[in-house]
Amino acid sequence: MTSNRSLEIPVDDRDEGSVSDHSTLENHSTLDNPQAVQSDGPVVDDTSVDDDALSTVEVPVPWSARRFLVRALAVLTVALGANYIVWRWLFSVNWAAWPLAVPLILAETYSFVDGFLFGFTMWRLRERGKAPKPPRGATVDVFITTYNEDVEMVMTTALAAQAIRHPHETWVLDDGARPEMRAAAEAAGIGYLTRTEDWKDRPRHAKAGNLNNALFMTSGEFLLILDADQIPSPDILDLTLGWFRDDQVALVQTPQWFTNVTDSDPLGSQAPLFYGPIQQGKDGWNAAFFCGSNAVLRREALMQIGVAGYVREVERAVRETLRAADRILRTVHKNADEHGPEVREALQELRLAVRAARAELAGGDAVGQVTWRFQQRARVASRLTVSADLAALTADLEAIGGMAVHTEPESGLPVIDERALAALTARGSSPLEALAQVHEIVLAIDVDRALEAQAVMPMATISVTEDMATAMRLHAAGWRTVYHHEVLAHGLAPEDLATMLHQRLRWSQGTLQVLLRENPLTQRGLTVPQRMMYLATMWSYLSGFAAVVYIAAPIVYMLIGTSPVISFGGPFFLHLLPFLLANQLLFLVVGWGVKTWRGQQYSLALFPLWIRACTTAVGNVVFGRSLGFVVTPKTRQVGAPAWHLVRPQLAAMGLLVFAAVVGVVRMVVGQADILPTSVNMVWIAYDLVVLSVIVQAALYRGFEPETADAVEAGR
Amino acid sequence: MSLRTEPAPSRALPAARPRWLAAVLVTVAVPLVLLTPRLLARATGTPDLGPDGLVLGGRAAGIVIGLLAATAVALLVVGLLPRPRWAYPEGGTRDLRIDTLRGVAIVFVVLNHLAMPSLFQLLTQEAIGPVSGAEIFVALSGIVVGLVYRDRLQRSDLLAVTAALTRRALTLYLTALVVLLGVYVLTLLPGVDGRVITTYTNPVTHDSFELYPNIGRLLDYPVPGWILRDIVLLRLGPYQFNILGLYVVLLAVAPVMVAALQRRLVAVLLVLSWLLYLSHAVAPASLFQAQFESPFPLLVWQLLFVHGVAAGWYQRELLAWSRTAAGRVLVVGAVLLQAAMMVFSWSNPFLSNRWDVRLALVPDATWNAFDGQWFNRTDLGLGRVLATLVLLVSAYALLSAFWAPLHRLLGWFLVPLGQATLYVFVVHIVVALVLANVPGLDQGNVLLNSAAHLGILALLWLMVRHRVLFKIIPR
Repeated sequence: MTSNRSLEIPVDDRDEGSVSDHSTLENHSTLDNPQAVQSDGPVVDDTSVDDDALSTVEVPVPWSARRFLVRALAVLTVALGANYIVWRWLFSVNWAAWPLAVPLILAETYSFVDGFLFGFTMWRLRERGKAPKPPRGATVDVFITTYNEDVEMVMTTALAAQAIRHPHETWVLDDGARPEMRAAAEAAGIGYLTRTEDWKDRPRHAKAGNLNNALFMTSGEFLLILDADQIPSPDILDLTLGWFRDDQVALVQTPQWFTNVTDSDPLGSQAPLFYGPIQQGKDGWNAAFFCGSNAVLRREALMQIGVAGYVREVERAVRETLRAADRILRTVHKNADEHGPEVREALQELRLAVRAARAELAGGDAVGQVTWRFQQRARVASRLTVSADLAALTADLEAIGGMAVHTEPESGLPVIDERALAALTARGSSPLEALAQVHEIVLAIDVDRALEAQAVMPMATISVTEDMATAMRLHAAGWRTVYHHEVLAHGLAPEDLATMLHQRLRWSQGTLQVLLRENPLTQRGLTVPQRMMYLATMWSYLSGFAAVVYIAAPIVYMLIGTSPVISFGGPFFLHLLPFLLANQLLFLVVGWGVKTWRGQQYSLALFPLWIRACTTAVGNVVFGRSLGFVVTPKTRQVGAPAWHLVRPQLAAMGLLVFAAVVGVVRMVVGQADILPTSVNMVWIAYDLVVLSVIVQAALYRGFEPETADAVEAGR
Repeated sequence: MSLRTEPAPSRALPAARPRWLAAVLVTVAVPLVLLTPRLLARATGTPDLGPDGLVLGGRAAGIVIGLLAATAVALLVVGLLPRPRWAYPEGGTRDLRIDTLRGVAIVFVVLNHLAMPSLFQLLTQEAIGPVSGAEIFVALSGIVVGLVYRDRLQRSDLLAVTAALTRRALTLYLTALVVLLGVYVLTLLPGVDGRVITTYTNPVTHDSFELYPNIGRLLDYPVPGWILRDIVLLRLGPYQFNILGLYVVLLAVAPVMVAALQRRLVAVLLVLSWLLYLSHAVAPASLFQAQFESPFPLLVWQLLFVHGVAAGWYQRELLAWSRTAAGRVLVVGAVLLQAAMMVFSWSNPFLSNRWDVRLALVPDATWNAFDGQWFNRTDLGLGRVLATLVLLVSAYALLSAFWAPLHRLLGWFLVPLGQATLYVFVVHIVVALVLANVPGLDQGNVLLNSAAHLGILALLWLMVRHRVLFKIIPR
């Protein structure tokens, strides 16, 4: 009944601009890293990938047989799942207890759809094997993105990058603009880039902005993007560039693998199911995701979507801002005459200009022409009012809380401040105010994007997870992507609960932002399977709501004895068990040799976080609220376990145990029936085992290399 | 019941030390007030009716009315004089007059719910006009919403305001649920007589109602869904607490009112409110069959809240207008009408204990008929709506004009209670249960009961001052 696969984790393991993530990483700069570069070349050579993590992902059965098995099981799972869910809807929902039954059937339907999308993903599982030889003379820039990470750690990565065999240029992209970072990079003969003056006081877009900045300062045909802690193998380019022999390929993504993770991985850092079957499945549908690091991109493709995205965003912004201008002008006081004929004339002229522009846009005229004509007319109109009393105007504007149009710091797009607009229109703006507001609007729809550092933003800036949004735009523009299943860079994962929670929240928020801003189902240019692949990932982030139901249902049954299912008798098992069995088999075959249990646990156990991601993402995209952040301590806790971060889970576990005790007592005294109580006991036990990961995570003291063999795995 | 949604700033409880002098004064003044009618009766030859209380008719009643009218006029004359040192210092962030009035309302509510014949009851049971604590409270809650959220909308938007109001409604709802169940569990303790919580006895007809019907079915297996539904819809629970359900619904709907006011649709809002009020007279409807809906029908009682919200929203404008000539005339009219309302309610045919006094101006049957037609409490007769309005206007005017002396006299006591009304409201349920289990009380010993009432008020006040369990009990 519950989703049996982990949340898909499509994105980079860190996000820039958050201090807490990096500070954790900083703590490990002294960590005995097997790949630490002490001198030059030869040492780095040792880090080449041979029998590392990949060997554990090796397919134990011949390829075609496995694929056949996977397909057979996928069909079986979906068919049996449909059989179960239809039976549930039609014959076994206890409608009399609808407050319980409806959430459960909805949660089950959610899980069924999840399972279907998983099966669909696996349908064209693609194992590519070795890439052809790199294209002759390919020029490459290696970008190492950093913000505030330890210089020593960044340099370890940078030197490893410098030692990559294929000819390339190495760049440290320092968003923190630290002199010591510059000195270290330059001393090692590594390129150092930081933001240009253009970015001053403009939206920075975190890592996406950092990369966009660098794109315009370099010229390599291909880009290898690495996070500051991702130490590349010397052959990373030799092994991946060959895929670009296909002119349509825009991206080659390789897995992320973490060296500072114990075998038991209590924080669930490794994502072997995602960097494996899921990415391979997506690859089969030409939908392999970009994950922010350890990936090679084709510059031409990025620039192309940058331009296309620019045009689209400008179009949308122009439409919205013109609408706002119209609204403001419509509410101008009737007493415009007081300000003299010039003002009245200017207003009249503006009104006509706005209407004309809107009509032209609706009529399909080119945005550039429309805005140019509009700006000409607007400038003429505002020149008429130069003599207006600016002081009075400023005071007026302060009273209503500022301009109705401003530039959103996160996306850099002109946005309408609905509150200011409402305040303005509710009280009826004065003519001067209206003129000032509309003047702002004229600026906002400037096609030169005077408010942005760069007019063209190749890396998508609509989400905190720029990678997924960028990949989707690449796909929509017809480019192909490749998932190369070979660990070619080794990184560091968060080592404490707080940082891990923060990171997961950002991922899920980012993914949901993309879903809400650029819904894959409605994106032009994507194939149907590609849409399904993006949907699958986004869908998996909605699991928090289902998790609440799966935890609550057995509690409710034990406590009040009302079952959301009509009977837990024979038909129930007859429908459910074959489905569960097929599902588990599919999972087993797909994830053969891969540790998927942690992922499964976390997809349920982090339910408060997933729900919060949904609410904050909706708040951000729909209502223009800040995403908000998990309050994370600056340094790793050394004191007591961080129970306070997982209170809802602990409360849920307490309730489950309490419900189990009540259920047993009721069964023993003969009040409750044995069969349904047993079913719910098993259910409670499953929930508890799944949730127990949170206790392990809270107790986790961080990675200790001496005791863990994960260092070996990373070697 | 407090509608404040921000975390309480420390200044919410002003540091003013209790004026012990004031306390002594009040304890001296109360007996004095009690003795005056008796002296009056003796002087005018009205027979003292002894254990049932005192009925003043004829000349004595005339003198009482004359005294009342003289007081009203005196207050008006002094109040209308410019006397800035006594006046309320306008411009603070929090209107302490409203806190004071809320303090009065919560004291009325608490004392009436701890139903024992006592001296305090003489004051709290409609002595200040045909208005009870509930009406004052509902209207004041509305006023606070209007006042606070107009301000809030300057800094944030409707979405944030909606979220804040919804959160508050949720807090009240959860409080109602927890009290409903928690206090019931207390009644189950061995040796505890829980009837004060689990039953309601009509003071007139002496009919008794079960307030927790079928609660025992919770122990059935499986638990019947309808008993859970009844609990969730607050169909069960102590009657002293049921008004909270009314607030939950009103607050949940309040964002709509705020939105309407923001769009200057105050006329639409008020007309709609009156239409709903009238619709109840035509076809009474119970939306949730929640317990609160029988004493406080939602469609009727929303009237006070909605008008409160509108009044709070336009507080500044209304205050400015009250200083114009027309405004002053209306305030004077309200104060005089208030005096008339008091005469009316003093003429009610009931005497609660031997210290009670009433005027015998009209025959009981006439009074009852008139009261039933215009001052019905459950269905909020128009007269009662008017009485609530004039009471609030005159009380607010009184506090505005005589703030310094009144605050000195009673503010130290009322303001803290008025700022923690939900807390007081929760605690008073437990107090009611404890009190019902103290032997010797409620035996008709008015003085002993009065002492108990005084002790309870002191206890509540001290608990608020010392923030006892503030972390657990919501405010």
